[in-house]
Amino acid sequence: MSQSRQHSRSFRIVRLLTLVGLLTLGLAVGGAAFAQASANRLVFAGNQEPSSLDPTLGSRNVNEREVTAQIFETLVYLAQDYTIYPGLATAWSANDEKTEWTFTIRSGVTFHNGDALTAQGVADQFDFARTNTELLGGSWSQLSEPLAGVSVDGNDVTVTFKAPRPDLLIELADPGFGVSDIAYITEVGQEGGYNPIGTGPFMFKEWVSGSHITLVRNPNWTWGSPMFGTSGPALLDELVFQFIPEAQTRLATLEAGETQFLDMLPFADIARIRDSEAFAVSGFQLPGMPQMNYLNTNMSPTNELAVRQAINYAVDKQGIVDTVYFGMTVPAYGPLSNNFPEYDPSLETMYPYDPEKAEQLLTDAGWVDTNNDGVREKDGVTLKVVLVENKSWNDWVYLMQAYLQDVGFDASVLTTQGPSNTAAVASGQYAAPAMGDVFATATLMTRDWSSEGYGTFPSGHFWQGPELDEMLAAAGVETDDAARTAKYHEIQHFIMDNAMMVPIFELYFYAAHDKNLTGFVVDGTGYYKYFAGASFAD
Amino acid sequence: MIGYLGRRLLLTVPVLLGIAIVVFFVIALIPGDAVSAMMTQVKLAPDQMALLRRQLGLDDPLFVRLGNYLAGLLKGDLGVSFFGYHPVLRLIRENFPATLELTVAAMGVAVILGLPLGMIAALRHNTWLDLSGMTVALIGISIPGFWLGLMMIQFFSVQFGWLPITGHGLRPLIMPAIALGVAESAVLARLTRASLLEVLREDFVRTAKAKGLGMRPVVLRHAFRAALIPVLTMFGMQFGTLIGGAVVIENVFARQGLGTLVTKAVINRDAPVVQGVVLVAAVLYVLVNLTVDALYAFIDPRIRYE
Repeated sequence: MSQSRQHSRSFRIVRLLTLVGLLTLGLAVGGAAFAQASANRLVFAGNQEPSSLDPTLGSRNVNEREVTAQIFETLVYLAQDYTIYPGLATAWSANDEKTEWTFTIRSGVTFHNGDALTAQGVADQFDFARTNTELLGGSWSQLSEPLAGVSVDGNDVTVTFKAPRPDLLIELADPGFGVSDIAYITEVGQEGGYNPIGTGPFMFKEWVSGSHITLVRNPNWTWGSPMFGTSGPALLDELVFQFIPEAQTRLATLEAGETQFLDMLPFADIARIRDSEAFAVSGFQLPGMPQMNYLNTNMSPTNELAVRQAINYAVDKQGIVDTVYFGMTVPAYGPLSNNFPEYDPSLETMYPYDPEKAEQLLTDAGWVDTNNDGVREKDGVTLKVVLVENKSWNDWVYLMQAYLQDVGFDASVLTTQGPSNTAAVASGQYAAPAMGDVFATATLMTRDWSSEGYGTFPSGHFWQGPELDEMLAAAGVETDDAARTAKYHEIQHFIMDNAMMVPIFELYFYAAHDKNLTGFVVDGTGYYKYFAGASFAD
Repeated sequence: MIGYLGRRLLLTVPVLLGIAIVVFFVIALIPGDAVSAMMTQVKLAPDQMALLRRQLGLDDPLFVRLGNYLAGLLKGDLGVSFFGYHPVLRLIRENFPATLELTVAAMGVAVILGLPLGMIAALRHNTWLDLSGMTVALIGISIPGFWLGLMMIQFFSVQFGWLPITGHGLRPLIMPAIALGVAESAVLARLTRASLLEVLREDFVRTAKAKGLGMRPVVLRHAFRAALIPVLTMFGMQFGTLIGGAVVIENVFARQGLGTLVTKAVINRDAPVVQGVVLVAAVLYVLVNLTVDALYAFIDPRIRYE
């Protein structure tokens, strides 16, 4: 090969490589930053991408329901003060046994595709839940087995259950019970989850996988629930849900102005953002089972009541609240949040922080530190407990570990995440798995305490007697308010008398948003936000 | 050459098959499954969980599931996601371009920063330029990409508002490309320096200088091309590192892409998605290295494939 040809070849290589480098930067030309705020466009910084956007097809997580709450409507709505507001149902009634519920369906409602919402359509929704096994995982599937039948009379839909369902209205207020266009779902199947059709204030526009979901105002929406503060149409032109898994990045987008609403503000940043002139911070207590640790009653050493009680006395809940959560929540004292009407306040004095008492209980039970290594033993067995953590959800366990070590436990932490956490808790092999739950009615505490969940369901206490199941079953069908409260008091005391758990703190979520954003509504769970009436003040 | 590349392509088939089997077993054997993942959000009754596992095929024997998976692969079917039942191919098709964009941009950053830095360090060997250049490279290798990304977000976006954090287009690509490409540029700089220094000591370079050629044509016309071979080799191998790094950077910058997709799938034990993404990444890696091999012959006429 001639010299000149070699020369030109060398330069071609260098130029090629440099060009590749420069051209790559010019690959995606144009396009502004993703989410520049416009006067009527709200970008919500979410943390996880949904899997499906139709509640009938399997709304399996709260992130999905946050979005579907804007697209679909429920029969009723639950406000923060636990008032039930009409939604797609304008009126309702139930028989004394609470086995038969009748809903009067609102007239003049249409789906985003123009189909009319009728009483028959709502009946078809209940029937679909009862008969279609592909719905598993969604909220509607919870009614599959309990439903006995559905009938229609004019604008009224009557739903019959096999057993009393006293909390049905609170259940149906969950966005997971949004009403779908069943005819559309039957036609398109799972694809409906990618192109949802609802009756809500916002219509689906686009879903860019891994990036965002865009909703636009439904101009025909004029039947808004009184809970929204507007009958419609919505004031926002566009509502965008962006998926930002990294918490600090999520917060940075709010501070940089790329998003205007942030859910789950990190506790460490609450004070700083609250002091900012640009943002408003709101705290919401989520009802349900507070953040806690189960105590496994079916394995050593937590099968001993004295050990379980000692653990309760050894943990400084206020210390955890102040240290780990910067004082932004409050201690918990039992298996139900303190904002339930069935909450028993007498639990608050049962297990004060008292490490001396914890040590005495352990010593009286025969657990002593015979070799002065700081860990107690009994009959050659070390006082060992493993705390199971669901990564980034149960940060308190490390401080709890220290409290337990102070009184002579060999305490360690097993870090798991998501499904491995569920598997670890369900395995029954660990003494103190951390847990929490969010639900709006005390009836649903059954799913965390029933023996039905042992081994498959994340219930980590493994109590072997039938008493708890019997009490839960009786309370779940009690229709008299006073009797119901008494029954749930009894359940809470049973759990705490037997020290089947260590309550730690009440779950609070803090949301931060542009100070000019007004009019959004938070429901009774403290988690779901409705933007039908939201707008930016001038 | 064609024959050589054809043979290499054929050899990738057993490689990809092996990768598919290994990934299958890794996902199948770690604690928890997709239904367990669903339980973290929605409490299902035991009979519902059992029925769901049956529908998703999770209660089939392991080798039955493997057989079904491999049979689907032969038909080009990567299955459907356990969450939402979206076809895996569609998910990959939707997310792949963004990852490719980020990876290529990061490679561009690596080339633009690394090559000149390495060349200057070699040509100014044992001077302050060499020392400072390699110090910068050392810092570049040492800084974790996710930390660099978070720092850039705080500085360039939150503090000064110069660059957007999220979005599509050129400006949102700058920070993630730098966060991903800086470490690669450091590796590239060091290797370029070492390779060029070695070539500059060769007889043919001394001969070129003796003939009266200036330094610029000596380096650019003769030495650099010879020094490129090991640099290209490293480049191809580092592509896999870039793909892996893209997983982290996409999550930090909330970018659409295979990284975000596979992260969520791993956490949710969404096996079809994990398997699909890993296979695609493996195919990409093989193709990139094949391209590198082909470039060898282009750069060095002495290299001929039979």
